[in-house]
Amino acid sequence: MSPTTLGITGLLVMILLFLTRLPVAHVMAMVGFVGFSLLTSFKGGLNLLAKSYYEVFTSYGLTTIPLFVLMGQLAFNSGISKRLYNTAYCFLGHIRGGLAMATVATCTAFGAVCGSSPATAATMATVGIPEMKRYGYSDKLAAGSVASGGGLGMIMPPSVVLIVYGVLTEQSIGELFMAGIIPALLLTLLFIICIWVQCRMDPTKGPAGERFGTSEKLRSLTGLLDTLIIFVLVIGGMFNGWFTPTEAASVGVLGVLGLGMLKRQLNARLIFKSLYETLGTSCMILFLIAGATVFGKFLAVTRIPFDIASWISGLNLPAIVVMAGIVLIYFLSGCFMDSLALVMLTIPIFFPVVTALGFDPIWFGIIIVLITELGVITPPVGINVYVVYGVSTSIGANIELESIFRGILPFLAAILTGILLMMLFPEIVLFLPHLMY
Amino acid sequence: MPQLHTLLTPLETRMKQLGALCILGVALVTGADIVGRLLNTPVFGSEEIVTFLAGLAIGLSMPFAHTRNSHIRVEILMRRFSKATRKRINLVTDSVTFLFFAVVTWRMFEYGASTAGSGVVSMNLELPEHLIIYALAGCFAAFSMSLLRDVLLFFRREGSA
Repeated sequence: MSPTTLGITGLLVMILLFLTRLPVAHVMAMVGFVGFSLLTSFKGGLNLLAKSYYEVFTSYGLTTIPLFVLMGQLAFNSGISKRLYNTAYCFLGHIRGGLAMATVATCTAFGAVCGSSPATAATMATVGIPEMKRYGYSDKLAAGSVASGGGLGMIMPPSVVLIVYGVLTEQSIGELFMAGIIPALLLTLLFIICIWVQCRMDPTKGPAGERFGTSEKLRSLTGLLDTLIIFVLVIGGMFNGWFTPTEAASVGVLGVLGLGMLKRQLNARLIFKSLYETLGTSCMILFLIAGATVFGKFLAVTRIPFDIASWISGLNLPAIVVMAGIVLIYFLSGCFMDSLALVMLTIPIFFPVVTALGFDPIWFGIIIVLITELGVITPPVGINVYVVYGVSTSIGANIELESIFRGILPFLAAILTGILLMMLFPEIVLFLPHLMY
Repeated sequence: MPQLHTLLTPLETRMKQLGALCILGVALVTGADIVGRLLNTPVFGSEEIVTFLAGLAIGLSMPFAHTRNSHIRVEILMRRFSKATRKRINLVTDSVTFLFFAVVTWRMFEYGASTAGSGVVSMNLELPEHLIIYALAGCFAAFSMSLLRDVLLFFRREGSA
């Protein structure tokens, strides 16, 4: 069997094994190990396994992941999100659809300290949905804004998906983080416009809430303080060259921990809860990276990624058409698979193609994260939709699953508009990295 | 089977607690290094300590992450099957996973032995690297035992049904 045939067989077997509910990380490692052993030697495959797990688990660059996850967990458990929401509510609550806008704005701000999309969605569902129900917001708008807004945490730095992309493709994590800021803000704006349009067309969807005075608005700004301090310290420190990404993440952890303990919002129970959650999530992510490493080595031996790259280059199609095809593949796959797993699985295949076509790797990273952001809200997997459904049921809001899926449709259009804008004007993504680096 | 359960449950808890302390250690050592750097006394070999602590944290969390079902799975097809079919497929996949990680455990011990033989040490602190590899191999062994427990649980439930 030729290496290419074996590679294609490996890919098909892997998809079949995914359907058996075996963990994605383990399947990638198993298929990679068997394929690599067949193409080189059994001993070579065995050595690859031990070395890959050891090197991934003890990689200094990857220590950033558990630290940023811990920072997010501590922020989540110390109630930062509630204070952020109150600030946004004071400024936007009196506008039609203002509570939904406040929810989206809070999601972006919370994303600055927490890189997890489901954690952001769960937090905002708990805080935002009862308020929106109280003011008579439609279920579709309330749940749709929370589920979609939760995804903004994936693009706003620090983002776990961006770190993983940076490690896999050897791109600067600092540049990727910088590149994520304008797209995150643009998407927030598009979501707010989307809410405004919906409420303009049907004012009963999001009636106006109470209006606050200037002094109350100014007082509420203290709710932003914690997040601002942490964000400036972590991201600013990294961009100014004071810290490496790992050090910046540690500063973030110690900052959130210190602030939380100082304000008596964190106790030993909550700290250990955050640590245990971090262990589970980090273990899952690092297993995925180790699995992707083994699988990537197998793919490299088959030369499939390079064959695909040269085949596509030979088609002489306009680069933007190829890119649109890749976007479509990611969009469809994202409906069935978790974003992180999808990135790790497909990067070894698509990254050589994209770089061969002359696209900027930093720009591609942001586009990929944006597309996978669609995956967290689209059926049938759409993790954020299920998180919002679960939280709304547990708090007695009882929003139907169908309403949530319908509610995300306008936001899907907003994300697609954002992706299109960034494809047409790559400077939206590259402006800040070019300015800083 | 009951012996395995009695052994694994407290072991998983201890491993999880140690793992949590390792993660906290990573943040504290890095923080101390940054402060030390400002005072011209950085923590010598902090990068190595951090790397090893993080590796241990991930290793120690393996059985816990498995038990709490942290790993990403594709559920789309399996949820269409009956409970009995799902259980049988799970038995096969759990057995395959156990065998795979038993192999990883074995290779990890072998890798540790070969590293010990060549006397590889870390660059600054000159820590023997094989100790970390052995520790990780031990974690993989505990993880494999957790997977074996799932396989044995199936037969126990089938037997009592």
